[in-house]
Formats: sequence, C-alpha cells, structure tokens
Amino acid sequence: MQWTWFHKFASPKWFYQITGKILPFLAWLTFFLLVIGLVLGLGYAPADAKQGNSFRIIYIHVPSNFLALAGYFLMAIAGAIGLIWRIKLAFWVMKCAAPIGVVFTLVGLLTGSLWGKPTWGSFWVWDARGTSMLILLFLYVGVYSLGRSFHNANSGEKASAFLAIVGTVNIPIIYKSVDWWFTLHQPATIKFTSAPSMHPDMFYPLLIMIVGFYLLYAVVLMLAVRAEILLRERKTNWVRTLVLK
Amino acid sequence: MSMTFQFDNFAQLIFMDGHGVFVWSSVLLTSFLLLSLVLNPILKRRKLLKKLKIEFMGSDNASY
Amino acid sequence: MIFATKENLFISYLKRDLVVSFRGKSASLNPLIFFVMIVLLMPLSLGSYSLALQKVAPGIIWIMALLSVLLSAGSIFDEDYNDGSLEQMIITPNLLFLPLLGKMTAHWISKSLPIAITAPFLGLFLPMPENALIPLLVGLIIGTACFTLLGSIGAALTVPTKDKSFLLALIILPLYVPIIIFGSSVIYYMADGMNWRYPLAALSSIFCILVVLSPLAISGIFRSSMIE
Repeated sequence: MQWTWFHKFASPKWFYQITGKILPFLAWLTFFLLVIGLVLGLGYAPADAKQGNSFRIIYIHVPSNFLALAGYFLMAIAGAIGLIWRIKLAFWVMKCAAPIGVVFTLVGLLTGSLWGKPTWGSFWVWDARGTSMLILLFLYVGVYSLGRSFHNANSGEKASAFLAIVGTVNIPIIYKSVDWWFTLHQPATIKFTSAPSMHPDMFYPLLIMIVGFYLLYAVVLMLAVRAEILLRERKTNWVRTLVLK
Repeated sequence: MSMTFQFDNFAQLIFMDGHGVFVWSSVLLTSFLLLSLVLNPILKRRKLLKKLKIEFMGSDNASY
Repeated sequence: MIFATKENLFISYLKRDLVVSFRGKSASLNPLIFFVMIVLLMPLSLGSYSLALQKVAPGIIWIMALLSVLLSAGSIFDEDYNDGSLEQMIITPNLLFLPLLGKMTAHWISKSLPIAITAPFLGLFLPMPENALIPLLVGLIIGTACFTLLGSIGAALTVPTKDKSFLLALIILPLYVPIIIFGSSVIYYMADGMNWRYPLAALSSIFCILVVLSPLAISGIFRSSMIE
C-alpha cells in the first residue's frame, strides 16, 4: 500500500516549509479574530443580569480552558503517533505542546480566579471544573518535567509520550471522581450556577474567541515546532542551505 | 444583529461598575502570557539562525 | 511468542522478590515506621483533642499512607536495573505481564500491606470512631494496591534517573486523585450513615482496571527500548 503520502507528513523539512507559507496568513487571521471577539465581548455584549460586568472574563476563561484540555489530547496523540510509527516530528510536536498547554491551563485558572472574586467572594472555590483544571495543570507539568529529566532526549520523549497516554486514559476517571467528590462535599447553601443562559449577543463574541484561541494555539504550536526542527535538524543539508541563503 | 456599546464613556469602560479591576487585569495578564508564548519561539528561532550562520560561515571560511 | 513453562511466572517472580526484600533486614520496615511517625505527628500540629482532628483523621491517614507508598514506589525496579537482571527480563521472549504482576504484588506485600494493616490501630490513637476502622482497613488494602500499581508505572518511566523520588511523585500524584477521593469517601460515608459500599465499589473497579492495564503499560515501556 502506498504510505508515502503519510510519511511525507512526517518530514520535518516539509513541515517547516509548509508552515512557513501559511503562518503569516494564519497569524493575521488569529489577530483579527481575537481583537474583534474581545472588543465585542468587552464592550458590546450586554452585562449579565446576576453577575454584572465580571462575566466578561468568560471571553478569555472559556476558550483557554477548551484549549487546555484539547491541547492535552493533542499532546498525547502526537506522543502515541511518535511511539507507534516512530516519527520524530510527532515527538517534537508533543514536546512543544507541553509548555504551551501549561500556559493555557494557567490562563484558565488565573482568569477563573479573577472571575470568582467578584462573583462568589473568594479567589478560589473547590468546584468540580476548577479542581479538574488544577489537576490538568499538574498532569502537564509532570509530562514536561519527565521529558526534561533524561540526558538522552529520545528516551525523554518516549517517556513523556507514555506518561501523556497514561494521563489521557485517566482524565475521564479523574474528572468523574472530582465531580462526584464535589457533589458529596458541596455546602448546601451555596449554589454554583453554570454559564449564564446565553443571549445571542453574548454568545457570538464567545464563539469568535473560541475559534480565535484554537487558531492561536495552532500558530503558537507551529512556531515552537519550527524552532525545534531547526535545532534538531541543524546538521542536515537543507538547514544548511536555508541558513546560508 | 443590533449591538450597542454598553458603556457611556471611556471611564465607565475601565471601571465597569467596580468589576473593571478584575476584567482588565484578566485581559492584561492573559495578553502578557500569550504574547510571551508567541514571542518565545520566534526569538529562539532567530537566535538559532544567527548562531548557525556564524557556525556555517566559519567552517566555510576555514577551508582555504 | 510464549514459551510454555512448567513454572508459573507470576509465582516465581513473587517468591523471588519477597525473598529478596525479607532478606534485606531493616530496609523493609522503613516505609511502615515512616508512616507511623507521620501519623502520630499529626496531633502535634492540629491539637490532640480538637474536634478538627476527629473530622480530618481519616483523610489524613489516607494522605500519609499515600506518601509512604509513594516514597517506596520508585524502588521496585532499582535492584534489578542495577544488577542487570531487568535487562535480562526484558529481552526474554516471554510476556512480561506475569513477571511484572508478581514483582508488584511482592512489592505491595512487603511495603504497603503493613501500612494498611497498621492504620486501623493508629486510628485508635487519633481517635477515630471505632466503626470507621474496618472501612479504613478495607479501603487502604485496595487503595495501597492501586497506589503500588500506578506508582510502578512511574517507576518504570524513571528507571534510569537517579534522585527520582520527587520526579516520581510529581508525575504520579495527579493520577492518585480518584483513589484518594473514593478511598476516603468510604470512611466519610460510614460516618454520615450512608452506604459505604458505593465508593468501595468505585475503588475496586479502579483496582480491576489497574491490575490489567498497569503491567501492560509497563511492559510497553520496557519493550520500547527506552532504557540504555
């Protein structure tokens, strides 16, 4: 069977060249989407009846949480591809995805904290989603630290890949158990309302921001992988020609 | 979609009925973190290209 | 390929590791002594007769048990790695599943089971209500087995690293969360008069999943030639 097309995707040189071509377009698109979404969300969306203006943080909080979770799965899948098909590029994608995921998770946690203070009076509440996000942060940090603790970069990448896969299997279990724990210990007097029922004028900026964040993740990942490619492939001819041009 | 600007003036936009502190610090914090996420690999790549250029040029010049 | 042998691989590795660990004099008792000490230190920071102590006692015993098992989890493959027998184990054509299960069982028996058995007696010191002691014991037996199974995956990932205790803790602790939640809920359910078999069932199902997946994951890790 002709698998050459599949292995073409595995070529670092091809990846570098293709991303070099589409990055400018993607970056501008991302920038416009984020600016438009933020302007609409911060200035034009009607304030929430119960939470007032603090709910506007949702336009950053929700997209970054989405990406934090999606980014972990992407990292684990990249690791799995690297392990199964022995594709170096997949490992490099996984390796770059780890610190990026840490930042997105951190943004989600910090914005959630800043949203919680005016809404529920404290910077942190031990609710199911927030606690699960906190554990996700630790999972990311674990994958990152494990990869860096090996002298041999290849062994480190394999170890990270395994850990990312084990973590992925655990994420649903962890979320379910935290959810269960939360309903067990939730003080009966406090009601944590989920996202406010959305007026369309509230919802469209959110949609724009979510798409913008997905694109931002893609842009940041491509930038990071490009840098990694140059570093790891610096002994090859094509990098040499590229540098000397 | 008829969207109206929600605030009467710029000062209101910043203050947001007292919630402005939280909203704007979220925006600034996030922008700072995400900007560094974008700039970090760009700077790394440029530094590497510069370094490799010196290396490769040097080795080329060394072969008289 | 599986070569048929008369000898059961699980039993032989179980016996081998048990003999090695019991031959090693005081090294076997350290996790237990550590556990006893940190549990008994708890009233010193909380106040010996405070109500808070009674309420948090089960949760804290669980955390202390977790720490004691976690600190000893990294050592499961150390001796074999150092004297080369781990490499020998990996290059044989047999499935690694049974030998690994045998090793993990031996490790659990020698390091974690004493902790689980001692915990109810320590509970009397704290003091915990007496009807909570049996759920504590049962929960800890299953829970420490789960800790060992997960911790061994971390040990397999960090075999070549020196100084591995904190790294191991870092990568494994998030995965321990469901076990802690269900394990301590067994006791809290009992205290609140609810049916403590529910969280115990959840804990047991986690154990069943781990008992199958953990040796599989570890043999995948070892067979991927990650260890020089």
